[in-house]
Amino acid sequence: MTDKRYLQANKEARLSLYITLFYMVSWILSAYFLSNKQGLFGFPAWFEVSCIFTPIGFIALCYIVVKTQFKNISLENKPNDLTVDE
Amino acid sequence: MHTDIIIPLVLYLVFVFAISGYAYLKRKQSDQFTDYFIGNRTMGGFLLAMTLAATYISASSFIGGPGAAYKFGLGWVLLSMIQVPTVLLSLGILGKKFAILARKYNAITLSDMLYAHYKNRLIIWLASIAIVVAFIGAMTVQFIGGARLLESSVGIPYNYGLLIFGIGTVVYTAFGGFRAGILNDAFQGMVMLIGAILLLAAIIYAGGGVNHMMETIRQIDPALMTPQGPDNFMDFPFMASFWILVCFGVVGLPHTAVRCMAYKDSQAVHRGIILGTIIVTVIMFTMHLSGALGRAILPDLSIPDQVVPNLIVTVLPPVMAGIFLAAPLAAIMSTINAQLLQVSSVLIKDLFLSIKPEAKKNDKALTRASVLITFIFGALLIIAAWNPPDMVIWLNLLAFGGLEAVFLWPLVLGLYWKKANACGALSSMIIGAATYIFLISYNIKIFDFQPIVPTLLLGLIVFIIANKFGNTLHNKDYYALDSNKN
Repeated sequence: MTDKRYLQANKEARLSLYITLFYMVSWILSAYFLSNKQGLFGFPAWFEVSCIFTPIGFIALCYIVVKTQFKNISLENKPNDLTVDE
Repeated sequence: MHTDIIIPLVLYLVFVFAISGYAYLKRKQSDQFTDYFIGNRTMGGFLLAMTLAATYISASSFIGGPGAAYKFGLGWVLLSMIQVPTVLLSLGILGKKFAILARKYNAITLSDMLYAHYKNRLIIWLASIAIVVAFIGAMTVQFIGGARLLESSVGIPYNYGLLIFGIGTVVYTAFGGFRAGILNDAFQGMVMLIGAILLLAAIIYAGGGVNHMMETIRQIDPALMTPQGPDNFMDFPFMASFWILVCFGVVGLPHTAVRCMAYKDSQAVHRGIILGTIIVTVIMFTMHLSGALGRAILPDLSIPDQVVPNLIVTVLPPVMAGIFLAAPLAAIMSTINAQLLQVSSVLIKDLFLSIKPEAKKNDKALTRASVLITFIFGALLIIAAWNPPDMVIWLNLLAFGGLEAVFLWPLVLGLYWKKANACGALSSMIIGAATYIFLISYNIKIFDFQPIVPTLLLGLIVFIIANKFGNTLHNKDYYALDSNKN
């Protein structure tokens, strides 16, 4: 018997991993492939993009994905679980 | 000694005790044992976010990390941003499945979960030993960090500082349990967050603006402005190792995992992910950047670890300095709280009860025993921290690596790989621990990676191979761990 809630939980776990990998790629690209010239706030440009804008983007992406893809599911034991457990 | 700084600090500690007392009274009214260790699974989203953030953010984020940023420049701030996804990863990967199963098995500790999946006592024994050993190392570091902070900022001699700080933390952990830990985490998380932001602002103000400070740092060493740092210190294998150690591997840390089974409902975890990520990101960024910019204000520190305490005293007026010194102290206290509770739950729940299951009915005695264990361990840790080595921050990462080597695969594969069995898990744990200890003690680096990288890789391979030789339990064979009422 597979609980349907696990399918949703698995999907959310996969999404979390994908977002993290996406963040890792942007982190690498912005840190190592941008110039050392001065940026908007006075820090080097690579620093501003990788350490300020990329994390902000990550938070925004988390927000969107959690709001649209993560579902409200019950975490409690279902009644028939109790009978199996006894 | 600076009395004008000490007074707000003392007031802060008194407040922390008050929270502890409140949690103690509250606990009297409910199911003692579950409440002491996981607060009866009542955490909402805000508390969950705060407690996860406060658990990650420890002495290394306030003392060691900024110290390293002081020494290695902006590249170390980049490195600290590797930790941005940790909250999402822990709450997302362990996720709701972990929470559902924890309720189903009535699990209180990580070992309960491992037992529920693998049905193997030996795994529990190994897991318990790993937790106790690794946390002794990690907690000693935190105690040393707290005492050093008091020493270098307000001039309290190291050993007095250790006693005041150590006894205070142990007392509030022992009596308050998990619930006090959570309440304090929420309060201390706020202190850390506000303190970190204001400190960075004060530093930029004192340094005459970002442009000016960057120019000063460029004159000290232009390499401080590059992602690689001086002498190409942060090269590819170094950065890659940190991605494993402080980002992906964090999923396997027991004191993080236990928070993933204590929240109330789906909504709590959704809110926890977003809030927790914001808090961790802001604190990591501001603290590490403070350390890096501190180079322009205090260019001649001989011990980089002292940069934050010194900056606090230099750039802030005394009363504010006292309050903001409380921020790193808060971080350290909440981390010790989480780890100390883990150790006592392991000793009582996983070891003592597995030998004498009939003692389970005596809830009061068990809770009392946990308090006692917390005290004994606290005393041992203060003794261990009495004569500290010079460089302690790496010891913390060392202990983390050890825990990840043992727990990451059994935990993650146990959740998501149906065929995972005890044979695979046990082999992976033993080989992981042995490899890690071997690589560390002989200081061997394979292709310049930190020991955790080959260790985890080997652990995974061993798990998959050994798994073929064991019997896989089928889903329907699961039974409730506590085999009782529930």
